[in-house]
Amino acid sequence: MSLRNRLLALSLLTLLLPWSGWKLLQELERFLRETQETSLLATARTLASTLPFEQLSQLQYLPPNYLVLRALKRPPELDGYSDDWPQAEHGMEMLSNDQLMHLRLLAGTSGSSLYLLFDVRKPQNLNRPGDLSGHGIEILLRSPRGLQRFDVRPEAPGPLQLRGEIGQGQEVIRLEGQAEGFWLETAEGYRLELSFPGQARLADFQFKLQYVNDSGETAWLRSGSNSNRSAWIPLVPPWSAASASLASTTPSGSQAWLVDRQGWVLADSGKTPVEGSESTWLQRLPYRWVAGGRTVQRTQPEETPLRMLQDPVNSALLGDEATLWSQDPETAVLSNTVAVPVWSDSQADSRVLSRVLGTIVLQSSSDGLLLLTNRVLGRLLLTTLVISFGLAAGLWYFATRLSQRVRRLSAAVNVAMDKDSPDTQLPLTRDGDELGELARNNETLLHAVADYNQYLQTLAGKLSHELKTPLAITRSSLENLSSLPLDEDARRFLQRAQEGVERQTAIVRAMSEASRLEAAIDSADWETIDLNQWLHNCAEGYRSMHPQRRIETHLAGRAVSYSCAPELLAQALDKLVDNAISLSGADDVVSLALLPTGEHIELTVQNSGTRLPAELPGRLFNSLVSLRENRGSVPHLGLGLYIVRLVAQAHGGQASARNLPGTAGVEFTLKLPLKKL
Amino acid sequence: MRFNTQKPQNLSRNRDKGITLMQRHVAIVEDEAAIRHNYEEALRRYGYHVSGFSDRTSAFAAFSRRLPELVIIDVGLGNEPEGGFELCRELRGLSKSLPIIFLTARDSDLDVISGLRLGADDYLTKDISLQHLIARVVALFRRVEALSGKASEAKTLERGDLSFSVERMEVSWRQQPVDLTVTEFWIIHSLIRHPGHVRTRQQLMDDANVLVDDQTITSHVKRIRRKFIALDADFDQLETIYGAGYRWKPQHSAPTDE
Repeated sequence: MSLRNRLLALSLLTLLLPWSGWKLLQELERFLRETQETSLLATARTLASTLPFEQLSQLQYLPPNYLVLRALKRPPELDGYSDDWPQAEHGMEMLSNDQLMHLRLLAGTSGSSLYLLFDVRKPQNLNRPGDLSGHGIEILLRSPRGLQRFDVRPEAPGPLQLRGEIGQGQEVIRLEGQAEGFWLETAEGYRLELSFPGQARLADFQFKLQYVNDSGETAWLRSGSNSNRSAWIPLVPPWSAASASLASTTPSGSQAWLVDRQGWVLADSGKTPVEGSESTWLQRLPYRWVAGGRTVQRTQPEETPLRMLQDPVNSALLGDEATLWSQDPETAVLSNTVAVPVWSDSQADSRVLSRVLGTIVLQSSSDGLLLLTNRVLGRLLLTTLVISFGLAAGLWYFATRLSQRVRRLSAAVNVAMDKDSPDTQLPLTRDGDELGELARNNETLLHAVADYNQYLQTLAGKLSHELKTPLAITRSSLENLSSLPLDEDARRFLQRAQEGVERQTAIVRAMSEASRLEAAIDSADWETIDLNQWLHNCAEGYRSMHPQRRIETHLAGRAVSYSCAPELLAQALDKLVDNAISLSGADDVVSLALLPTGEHIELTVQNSGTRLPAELPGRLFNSLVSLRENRGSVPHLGLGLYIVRLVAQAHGGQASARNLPGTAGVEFTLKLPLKKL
Repeated sequence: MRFNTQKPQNLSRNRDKGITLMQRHVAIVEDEAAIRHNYEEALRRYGYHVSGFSDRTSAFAAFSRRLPELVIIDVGLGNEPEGGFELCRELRGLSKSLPIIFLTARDSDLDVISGLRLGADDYLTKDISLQHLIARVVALFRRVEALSGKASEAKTLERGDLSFSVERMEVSWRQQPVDLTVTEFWIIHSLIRHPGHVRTRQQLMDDANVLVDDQTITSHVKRIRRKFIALDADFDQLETIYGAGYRWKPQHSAPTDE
């Protein structure tokens, strides 16, 4: 992993910024909610504890079974269908004693008429469509004019004209056209819809529902109780006074309800228009991220509810204050609903003695929180992302620059190492930072190395020069000695001494060869020759000198005209061929090749049988570097390849060595540019 | 046939004979006492009258009084790194024909060229053996004798336009004498004995009684070629066979392709 990528990865840490912002936003949203909740609860508590006395007592003395009279906006059509009744699912539920018949009873007023809906469900085995015999309903109304009795006995499904009577005993007056209805057979049973014109202010009524039970006997489902007598069912209209007082005390933007023990809404402060507009799903999404876990998705009823049985009302009816956050999935409007129980004795210290009479439900609906959250989240995300990207870009730029500089320095050092020249200029040496210091140190080091190499290159020459004089002394002394009369032993020692001197002389001569070659390069004769012919001649020469060895040539196959110093080139080739011949066995092949490419001429000498030692391959062509493993009696100072390199450099080229693949041997290459530098 | 009959193994015999008829006077100017004494003794043993000097001024003072017949000079003399060259120049002022041999530890081409340009007859490095040194001294004396007509009629070799006198150590190209040092003379001799045949550098070294490296032989050959070309711009008889050595290309015949 490069420096740059590492820093880039490091800059990913800045992504923690949006994450922590998101967490912060959640906290903020929670805090806002709590604030709103607290204030809403406080309002609800105030509303609950300041209920007027008469309402409290009304609540306290509500009968156990009563029917809420709903104000119908339009008179329902008498067709047996309940769909023109608002919230038809909320009604008075009753079961017959034998648990067979199920009745849901709805009551409503429109204008001056009273409407009743009996929704009866029978068990499957009793449901015989078309068979209405044995079924009927007897209804008693207590009107200011007296008891009115209606007996509904349909002969067939459809519209009904109800016959009624008023009075008791002898003074019974028949009533005609005082009520009408509609009997509809349904899949589960039947539905009876009745209208009583002019009875809108009726206080209570009772009924008796006749049916045939599963043993074929006639049975009765009576209103109010399970006894054999029907009980009066009070009809309770909405508490308009209470609604008005609720409306006046409810803070704007929220709606309050007074709910009784059974969940029936008795008073309603009225609907307040919800602020805000419809939001798109894209706007809702962020809020769901932030607060989705704490929000119930619940469709807000369009109309004022008649009965509340869901959270938080049911908790409040059990005596606990409760709150709920809900969001309408359609409109995304956020609602906070709180429910506070209404106690029979609000002053009582102990709730044990007090009874829950109902609850005050307060709901505040707004999309303000949503919009606020969205806005904050949007800004937060934008800010942190911009910061993150900015930071990442900055770090990346910095890292790129840094790695560029490091790479430039390292490339320059590499080039300088290869070039091996003492006056190398490294980049970055003027920079003031650590890299600049590194570059300066590198430059110093390179200069030291170059000086050292220079010293090594001249060392041999200097040393040989200095050694020559003492060697001449020894040699001439020994030669003089040899011309004196000596005994056998002395001769033997003398001979050994002379052999030693010979060897030293050879060493000294080899040492001075390179330095003399350097001088020779300056005075070399440059001429343009045909390298192909030249190599052919050279190879012939080597063959005649080493007739027992196999020397192959791979010539270019055409004349290769090249401007060079043929003497020097031949000398370099001599060294390479000497090397190849002396390092390989008698059976190994030495092959010479000339390969002119577009811009270069490659002169290679290959030999099988040996390998380059693994160590110091780059220094092979340096002065005084010998990698020969077995040092024989012939002195080897490692100057031969240095001479090759000098010749190559004099031609503006390079010398290189490599192992051939497998055990094919070694290849030395002189790469000479066609164009002079 | 080796032209040099005075092989080093004859040294002791020569001394036994007692060459008193005409003792050649050889002077050695060498600041290194040990070397000087060794050379002196070797030459004396061979029968020469030898006088040694350790610096330029004393040598020149002595030479001004009486010239020796041959001088061997070290290039670096004491604290004068080029004192030998200076002495050579002064000696040439005294005598044009005095044989002078430079003997030095320095062996760069530049030194060789400047030494020879000053009129030295040979330029030897100090790793030469005493026998080789003496062989050169003998050869130089022979040349002096030949020039002064003391020697018998010269035996000459003819190779096309080249005429070669072994006894007089004279070489001429198209009747023009070529001025060669002893080493160069022996190299030419080695090459023309078998015209068309390649002589390796090692063979040339052996024949010329020098023990040097390939580089030095190369520069010797180059110098010889340049001397011929100075007389005849079309000279191309001295051929380099890369990778092998040199050969004397026979004239008026197609070059053999080996």
